Amino acid sequence: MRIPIAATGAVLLACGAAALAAGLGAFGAAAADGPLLDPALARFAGGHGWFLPVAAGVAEVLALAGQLWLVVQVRRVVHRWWPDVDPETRIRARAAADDLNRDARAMPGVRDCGVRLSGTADRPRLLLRLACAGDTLISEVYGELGAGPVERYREAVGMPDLPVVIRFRPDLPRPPRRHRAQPEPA
Amino acid sequence: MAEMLVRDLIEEEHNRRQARRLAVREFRPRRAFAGFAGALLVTTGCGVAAIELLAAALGSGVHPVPGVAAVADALRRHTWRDVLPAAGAITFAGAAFLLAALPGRLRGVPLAGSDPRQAGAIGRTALRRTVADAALGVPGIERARVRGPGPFRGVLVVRVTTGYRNPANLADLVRQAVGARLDRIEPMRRPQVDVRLGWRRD
Repeated sequence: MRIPIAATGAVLLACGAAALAAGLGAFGAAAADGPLLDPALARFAGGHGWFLPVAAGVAEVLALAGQLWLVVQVRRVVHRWWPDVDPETRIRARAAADDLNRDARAMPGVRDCGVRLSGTADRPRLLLRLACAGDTLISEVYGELGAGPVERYREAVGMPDLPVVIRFRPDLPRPPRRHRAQPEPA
Repeated sequence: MAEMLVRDLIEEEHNRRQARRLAVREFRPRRAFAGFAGALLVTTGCGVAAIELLAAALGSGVHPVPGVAAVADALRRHTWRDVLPAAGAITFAGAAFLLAALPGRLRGVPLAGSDPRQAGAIGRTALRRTVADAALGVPGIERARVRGPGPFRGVLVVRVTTGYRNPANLADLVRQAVGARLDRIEPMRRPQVDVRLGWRRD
């Protein structure tokens, strides 16, 4: 989604910079003191019959592209919480998530586990959040999870290539803030 | 036998690269707010322009979208010099959108792995805290603060303080403890560790 953002930014920057240049007199003092909606533009549109329909068509296409962009983003947000899979897979995923949760909690150092299937039918994701002790052997837990429990989850939901995204959250207290030494009472 | 070994090595490297790609794709900032703002701007701006232009092309003398008549009137009355602040704001918004389109820093530190279907990460703050925890485990260390890993050099700066007057090899011990903790985490790109030790000088 970065390309449409960059295109929008480039167009806005170019328009803003051109307006700044016009206002500061880069195109001549007459242009700087001229109205924003120049009567010459209306005359041009009146003299060329094709201009307004073509401009309207371009604006319409851009508006449709914007709507499509909006729909894609809303769809992505919705499917982050509500995966786009059939009801049967959803039921199997729920049962498999319980197994995965139990297996993950049994690993050394793991205190809590959150499992969520997300994404669209063509791009599903399994999201795992693991809360663990501060000195957990994270590399080993990471490898073992992928080799055992996650593989069983993939088999259970029938998605052998399901990508899994694991986030580790070591359970460590915030470091204490440094306090200025208080003068001792006399 | 040698051919088998070479093939395995190539496959493992390929898998590692795929895993790295998945991690980068998953942990890259999504820029959801910029995306929504841009999509709303394009949809409303171009939608209003399309309706107005179509009305003008059909020869209608009225403005179908409410409020556009006042805007068109203002556009006729004001000069380019009058709208310098608005032009500046548009330029600033464009620059902000362009900045938002840059790839950005990953949300978390990716973990090493050779499964192309698996991506893992530990939060940057969590990594700093666990490294500080490892440094505080060294006898004699009273305070530990960790900064980094930065986006460019990826150096983890560990500032530790001891109450001892003679620090001896404490810096090395802290470096070892931090290294051992990083071994337990195995980040995809292992950060360099820079230990800075402060001690009592009175």
